[in-house]
Amino acid sequence: MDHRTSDEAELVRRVQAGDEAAFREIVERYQSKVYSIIYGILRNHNDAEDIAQQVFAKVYFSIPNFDFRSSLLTWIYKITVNECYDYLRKRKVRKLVYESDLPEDDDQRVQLNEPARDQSPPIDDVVARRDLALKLLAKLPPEERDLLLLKEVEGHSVEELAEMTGINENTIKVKLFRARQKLLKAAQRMLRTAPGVVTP
Amino acid sequence: MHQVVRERLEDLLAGSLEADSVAELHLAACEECRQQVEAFRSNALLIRSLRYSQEIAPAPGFYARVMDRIEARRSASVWNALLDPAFAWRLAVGSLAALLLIGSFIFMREAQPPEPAVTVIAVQEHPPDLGSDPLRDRDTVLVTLATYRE
Ligand SMILES: [Zn+2]
Repeated sequence: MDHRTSDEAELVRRVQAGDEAAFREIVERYQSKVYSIIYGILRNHNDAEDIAQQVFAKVYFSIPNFDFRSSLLTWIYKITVNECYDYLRKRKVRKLVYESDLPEDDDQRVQLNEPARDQSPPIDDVVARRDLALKLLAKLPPEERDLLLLKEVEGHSVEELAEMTGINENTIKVKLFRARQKLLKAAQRMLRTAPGVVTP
Repeated sequence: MHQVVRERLEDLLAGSLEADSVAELHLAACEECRQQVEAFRSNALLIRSLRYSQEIAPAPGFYARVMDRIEARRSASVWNALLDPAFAWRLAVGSLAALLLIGSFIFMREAQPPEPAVTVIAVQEHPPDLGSDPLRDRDTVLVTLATYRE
């Protein structure tokens, strides 16, 4: 599929030409999608609002470089996941400063459990599994992480992924396999160093 | 993992293969592949824990808040350009260079010895030739004294 000819592409070209109404259309079309992706990852409305704003600001400033190789939504999706991980990284650094006397592993648990701070009891199984998923995905290069999320969280097929990213199906499969292998290795390493924290 | 399974891994994980497909039949017979597929499957389930099925809209007025953020970034980038470490460095180097230039100019002006009278140099360059003729000697001494006084 050629992402140059869609109505989305037309919208992008209008934004690239400086049409703010077209940008507004993009924001209104995708704001709920973006907000939900972030909320799905961080489970906190304040964070979702803040990061969603950040994502669209980034879209605004980066859209002159959009090259139509992937669909606009796939491109926005990548920015969104990237912003979430950027946020988690920054928060981890902040936490490490304030809680530097905790053992390292506890730091990570505190940091990744935080999105569910309004829940009690503090760590239930679902939260712990999400924490682990986020931690493991953090070990992957962004491209592989995005593909796995698009496949498993967004539920796209290999065929759809190929269409969305402009990468052929076989390459998608190879990339997914590599990502899954890395994820498995990371999980095994994590379980060896902190057995019993969570079972994947 | 054997090729026959690896090629169909995504279908196997999605559960979209027929029970009598080549890959499924291989799995039934190969313990090694079965274990690996199981491990991949449990990891896939783990990632699916990030699924959030409902679509949530941000609070009304989201576009306006995005535009505020964009404006804030625009004005911040002007300040950033001024406070940018590379810019600050260039500014520091430039100032230092200017300071050195002015400093060395002042130093050189002060360190230069006062210019001696041109006539003294002239006298030293042509030392009086004394001794051969008393009359000429007297004239030479007089001329020397006279020019020195100048
Ligand atoms: Zn096998």
